[in-house]
Amino acid sequence: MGTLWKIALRNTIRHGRRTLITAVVMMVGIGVFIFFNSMIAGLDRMAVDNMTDYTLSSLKIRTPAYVDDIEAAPLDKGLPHPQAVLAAAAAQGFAATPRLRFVATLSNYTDAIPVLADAVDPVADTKVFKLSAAVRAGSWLEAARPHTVVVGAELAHELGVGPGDTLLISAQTVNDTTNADEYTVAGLVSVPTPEVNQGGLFISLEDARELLGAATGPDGLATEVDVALPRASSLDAALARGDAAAARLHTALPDLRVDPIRQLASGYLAVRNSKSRSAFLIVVIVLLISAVGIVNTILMSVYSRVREIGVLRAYGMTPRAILRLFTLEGLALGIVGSLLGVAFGALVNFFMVTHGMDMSAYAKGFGNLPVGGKLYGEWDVGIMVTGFVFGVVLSVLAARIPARRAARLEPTSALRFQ
Amino acid sequence: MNVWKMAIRNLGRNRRRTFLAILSVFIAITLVTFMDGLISGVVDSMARNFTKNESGHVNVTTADYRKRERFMPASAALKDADAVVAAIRSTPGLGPELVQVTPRIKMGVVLSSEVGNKAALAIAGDPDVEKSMLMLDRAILPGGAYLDTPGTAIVGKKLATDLGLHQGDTLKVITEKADYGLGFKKLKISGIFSTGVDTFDGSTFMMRLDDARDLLGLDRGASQVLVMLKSYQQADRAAALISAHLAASGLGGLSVQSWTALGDIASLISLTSNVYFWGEIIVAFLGAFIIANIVMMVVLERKREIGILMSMGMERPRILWLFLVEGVLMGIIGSAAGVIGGTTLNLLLGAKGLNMTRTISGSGIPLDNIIHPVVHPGAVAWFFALGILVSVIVSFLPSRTASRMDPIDAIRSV
Repeated sequence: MGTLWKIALRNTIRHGRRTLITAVVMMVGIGVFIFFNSMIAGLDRMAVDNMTDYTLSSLKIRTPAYVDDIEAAPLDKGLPHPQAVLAAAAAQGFAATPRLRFVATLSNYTDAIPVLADAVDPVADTKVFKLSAAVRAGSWLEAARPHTVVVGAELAHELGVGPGDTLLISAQTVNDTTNADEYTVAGLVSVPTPEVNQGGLFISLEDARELLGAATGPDGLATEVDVALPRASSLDAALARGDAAAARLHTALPDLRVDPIRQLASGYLAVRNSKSRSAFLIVVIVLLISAVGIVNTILMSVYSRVREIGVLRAYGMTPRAILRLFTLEGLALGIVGSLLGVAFGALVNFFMVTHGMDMSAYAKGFGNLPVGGKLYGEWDVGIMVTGFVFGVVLSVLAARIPARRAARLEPTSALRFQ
Repeated sequence: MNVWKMAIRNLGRNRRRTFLAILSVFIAITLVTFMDGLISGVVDSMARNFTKNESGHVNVTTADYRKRERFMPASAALKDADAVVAAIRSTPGLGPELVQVTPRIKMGVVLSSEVGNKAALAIAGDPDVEKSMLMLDRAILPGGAYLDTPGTAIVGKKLATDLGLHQGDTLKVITEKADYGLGFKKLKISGIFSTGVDTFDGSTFMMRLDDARDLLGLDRGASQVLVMLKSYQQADRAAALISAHLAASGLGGLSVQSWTALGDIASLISLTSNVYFWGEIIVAFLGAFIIANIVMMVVLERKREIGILMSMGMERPRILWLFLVEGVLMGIIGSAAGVIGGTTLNLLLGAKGLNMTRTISGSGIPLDNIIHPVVHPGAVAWFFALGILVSVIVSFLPSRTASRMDPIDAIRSV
């Protein structure tokens, strides 16, 4: 075996240019495969992160009756004791904030538009959501400045209002009457989530409760409590962590629904599953195409050496040893090419992870999906191993099959082979 | 000696290699043809839904309404929409291209029920004309009725479920009138409709045009006038004609827009088409790359033959041509098979449809849940040409190498 290895390695070096071409083909094929996977994983991560940061939070606690009628934003199905829920979350060491969602009509005195408003605790909300950091003009809500609102940037632009301007908000109260009041715009938020940009209205809990005629005070009306969990290293880890935290909170709050991000973002995650199926198809195609390149290069190099095989046979080398020799050559070539491929993919990925790629220009192509801002790659060791193994196995097979045929030829016809 | 005959015979010298190359081109061209059919299906679905539900092929309204379109203000609506309709019908040069001209009113309202409140979009149109536009009469669930009598409304299935509304219930609609007063109307739900477009079923209800005019205090007015054409590709030309004719008829100052200029759909469509155009070219090149490899091999293998042919008097351009034809022949066979394969796939799936419900839910794009790939003869011809074009490009360099050889060296080489 030792001698064969030596011959095999010498052969790969002797045919330097051919080795190089094959290695480059493999490098590009496997590198693209790794890069592509990283992009797809990064896109999902970005979408779920944006939802967690700006609309959903990691975990929502609501009453089961509220969730049943969620599309109608019912005010009479709020949490019975928001304080108790907040205390339960705090006991687990999680940051949590109460919110109250209601349908409001927003008017600039000329035009009116219905929106889904979020009443928030100006201080606690910043510990769960990142909206306060996304304020582009003016400032976030402050408890010291009542009767102010924060509006999505695009919505404000269409209404022609900015910080300091007045808006009229009307809504149906808990008693089914209509109430309206004037509010000053404190600031505008601009985030990668179209839903917030085009229809976001944020108001302090106390102001909203007053407008809706609901119970005020620390245990006043809230339709949900949103909980923040620390950022996990990957999307799957984040989903698993959310499930675990939801299970623990549910034991503490058995009468309430505790929905982790897996549930909250189920619509997107379903898209992701079917998308990852079509993405998988694309990856398979990328691999197939590089496989054709790799197989082709190795096939050609083996065929061009049929005469060499004839010489080896004439010197008394058995077909078995010849097959082994070419398998070893394929193995050596496969290892070199695959290593280069993984290194190339990792290098490109490193830039994707550290620098990211600006996606703002393509945001429109994603419809209402929360995709925008910078796309960062994700590390996935499993994919790199897959790419490496695939490259090695493929080149061994590609070298073996023609070599077996050549080794079985009569030495004389192999020598005459052109 | 005929170069084509020689090339065909040469292809037969290593059948397996030739087959491999043809297979590779076949896979690539099948893939792009199929993908293009699917994308065209998606684009057609988007364009069709957007134009019939939202904009029409050409959309006419006041300049003020256009500016504040998102708020659908009754105060900025066309005061005499019927006159606009009549003027558009008499536009010279449109002729048989014009299929339908109809006024429509849209308003955003908050619907309230026992359960809660939800923002909804009301569309009001002529019930008879809308049978060929919104086509909701066909989407009414069994037991329900279309807008046959005044004072009725039909509600999207998901919207009705969300608010706990049923057929026979009363819908209370409150909105701002054209004179900024408060308009109020009770409508009886005569039917529930389900179109299969989630974004539509979850937020829309429809009422009669006369009811909406009554509600908003718009006598002969409407928010917009929608023009439907035979083909949506004619919209830009028709918009220009209509705009000129309206100005000439004393109805100037209106905003006449083709659907391509409205909303994000047209830019989304052109973005998709662009991305796929480059994708197609890359896939075609990858598929044809193997031809370059093979022609290179062939040229090296037949060095002596090339030398002999040259010394027998074959000119260099003919040598180049010989190898080019050999590469391109593989491309032609592969492309032809690929185009046939892809088209067959599209025709099969076009009849059956592809369920995209899970892929598109939540994206807010107005797409049918079932997508039917479409076959455009022009696109098929283009992919056939593309396959040949890339094989010409990739075969050129190795063929040129052959034509530049020195006959003496070539003959002497092994």
